[in-house]
Amino acid sequence: MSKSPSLFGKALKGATDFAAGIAVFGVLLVVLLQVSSRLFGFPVSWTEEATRYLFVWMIFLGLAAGFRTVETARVTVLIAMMPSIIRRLSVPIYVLSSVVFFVLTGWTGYHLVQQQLMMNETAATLAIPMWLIGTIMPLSSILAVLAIVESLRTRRALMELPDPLQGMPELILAESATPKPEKQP
Amino acid sequence: MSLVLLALFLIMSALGVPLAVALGLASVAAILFFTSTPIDLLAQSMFSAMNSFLLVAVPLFILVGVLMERGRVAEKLFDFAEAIVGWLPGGLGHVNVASSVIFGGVSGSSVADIASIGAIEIKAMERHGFPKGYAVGMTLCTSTLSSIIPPSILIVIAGSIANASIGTLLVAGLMPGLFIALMLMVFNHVYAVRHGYNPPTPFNVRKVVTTGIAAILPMLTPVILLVGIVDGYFTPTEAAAIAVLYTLFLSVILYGTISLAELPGIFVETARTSGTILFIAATAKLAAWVFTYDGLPAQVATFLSAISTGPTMALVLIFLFLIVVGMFMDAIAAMFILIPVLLPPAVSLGVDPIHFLIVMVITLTLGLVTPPVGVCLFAVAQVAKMSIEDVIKGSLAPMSILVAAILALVLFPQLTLTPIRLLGLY
Repeated sequence: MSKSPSLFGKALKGATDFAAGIAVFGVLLVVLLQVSSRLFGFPVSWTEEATRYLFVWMIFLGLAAGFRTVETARVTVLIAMMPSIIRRLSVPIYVLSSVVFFVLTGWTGYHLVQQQLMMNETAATLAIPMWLIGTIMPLSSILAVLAIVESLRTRRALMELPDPLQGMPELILAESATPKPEKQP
Repeated sequence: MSLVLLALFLIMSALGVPLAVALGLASVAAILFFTSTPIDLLAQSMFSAMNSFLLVAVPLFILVGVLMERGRVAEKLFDFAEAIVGWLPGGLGHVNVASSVIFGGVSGSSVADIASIGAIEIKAMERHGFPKGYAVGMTLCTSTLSSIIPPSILIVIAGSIANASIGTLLVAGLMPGLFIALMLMVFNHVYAVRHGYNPPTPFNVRKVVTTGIAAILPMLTPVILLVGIVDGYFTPTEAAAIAVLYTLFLSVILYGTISLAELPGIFVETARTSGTILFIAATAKLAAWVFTYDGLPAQVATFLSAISTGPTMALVLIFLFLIVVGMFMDAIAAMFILIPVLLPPAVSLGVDPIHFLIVMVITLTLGLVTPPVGVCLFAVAQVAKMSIEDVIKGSLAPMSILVAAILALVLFPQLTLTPIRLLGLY
C-alpha cells in the first residue's frame, strides 16, 4: 500500500511536475507556432531548436518523475519465479542499480555542462548558452535519486511485489483513463 | 564486447533492474572493460539521443491518446462500428474488429484500446450470445491493430530510430493493419456461422447516419494527420501538434468532457509517460554505439547470409526471433536495441527497409498479447475479470490467425509496399 508523500516528497513532486508540465505545453505551443507561421508565409527560424531543447528538458524531468511513481519499465515476471531469497533482494537490486546509474549520469552530465561552459557553446539560432540545456542532465539525475528515495518510503510495495502490469510503458497510456492518486489515506 | 553487454543486460533485466538502467549500466561496463573511451560518453549519448525533432512526435501522439480517452469518444466510435458491420453474420465479432481499427486511428496504443473500448466490446459480444472466452480473445487480438493503424506510436518510434520517413512508415502501416483486420473478420465469420452465434440483424441506414454523425469528428483525426503528412503540409511532429489542437477542440470545447482545470494534470502525465517510455531510447543510443564499435551488425549480416538463402528467408528468421524477443521484452526497448543491429544486415541481404520496420513493429506487437509479459493480456484479463489461463484459452484461435496474417505480411512485401508506391511516397 502507498504511504502519503512527505513534505519533501510533495515539494519534489510539485517542482518536477510543474516544470515537466510547462515543458509539454511549451513544446505544443512552439510546434504549433512553427507550422502556423510557415503556412501563413512568415516562417520563424528558432522554433525547431526551441522544440528540441524543451523536449530534452521534458523527457529528463519526465523520467525522474517516473521513478517517483515506480513506473519505469522493467521485467518482474522472472524475478517473481526465483527463490524467495532472491525475491527479497528485489528492492535493494532496484534501488542500488538505479542510484548507481543516476550517480554515473549525474557525474558525466556535470562534465558535459563543464565542457559546454569551457567551450562557450551556444545554440545555433536561439543563441542561448548550451549549458542551460545541458544542466538538465545532472539536475534530472539528482531529481531521479531523490525520487527513488521518496518512492522507497511511499511506494515500496510496487518495488517488492512483482506485478506483471507494473512497469509496462504502454499501460501508462491506458492508466491515464483512471488516474492513479498520488496520495492514499 | 557486444555479447558481454547483452549478457549483462539480460541478467540485470531478469533481476528486475529497470530495462533502461540495465542497458545503460551494461553499456558502461562494456565500454570500461573493452575500450579506452571515457565514460563521459554516457551523458553525451543520452543527451544527443533526446535532441531529436522527430521524437517530439511521440509525446504529442501520447497527448492525443490521453485526450481521446478522457474525452470519452470510445462509445461513439463503437456505436458507429456496430452500425456499419453489425448486420453481417457474426456481427458483434466484426464490430469488435472494426471499432479497434477506428479507435486505432485516434489513439495509437493497444492498451489504450483495451482500457477504453475493451469492456464495451466484451459485454456487447456476450449480450449477443458469444462465449466470454471468445469475446475476450477477439478483444485481445484486435487490440494489436491500434499499434499498427496510423497514428501508431510504435511506428513513429521505429521510424525515428531507423532515420526513415515517418510519414511513409505511418501510411505503410495502414494496409497491413487493414489486412490483419480482414483476416480476423473472415475468421470471425466462419467461427460465428459454424457455431450459430449472433445471427444477422437488418442493415439500418438511419443508424449508420446518426452514429456516423456522432463519430465523424473524432474519426477525422487520422484523416487530418495522413492527408497533412502525405500532401506535405506538415511534418509528422507538426501533424501530431495539429492533432493535439484538434482533440483539445473536441474534448474541451465541443463535447465539454475535459475541463480546462484538468489540462495541467494531463500535460504532467504526458511528460511522465513520455519520459518513462523514452528513457530506454536515451540509454539505447550508448548500446548502439557499442554495437557499432564492435561491428555487431556486420557479424549478424554474415551469420544471416550463412544460414539463409535470400531476403525472404532472412526476414522469416528475423520474424521468428522477434516473436521470442517480444514475449520477454517491452516492444519499445526491443526496437531501440534491435533496429540498429538487425536493419543494416537485413537491408544488405535485400530486405526492403520499410517492409522490415513494419514487420518488426507488427511482430513485436504480438508480445503485447502473449505470456509471460503481454501487457494487453493482463489488461484484458483485468477488464474481463478472467484468469490469465482462461484468456489464453479463449484467444488461441484468433491468435493463430493473427500469427498467420503477420507471416503473410512477411512473405508478401507487396501488401505493405504497393500502397505507398501507388501514392508516390516510396
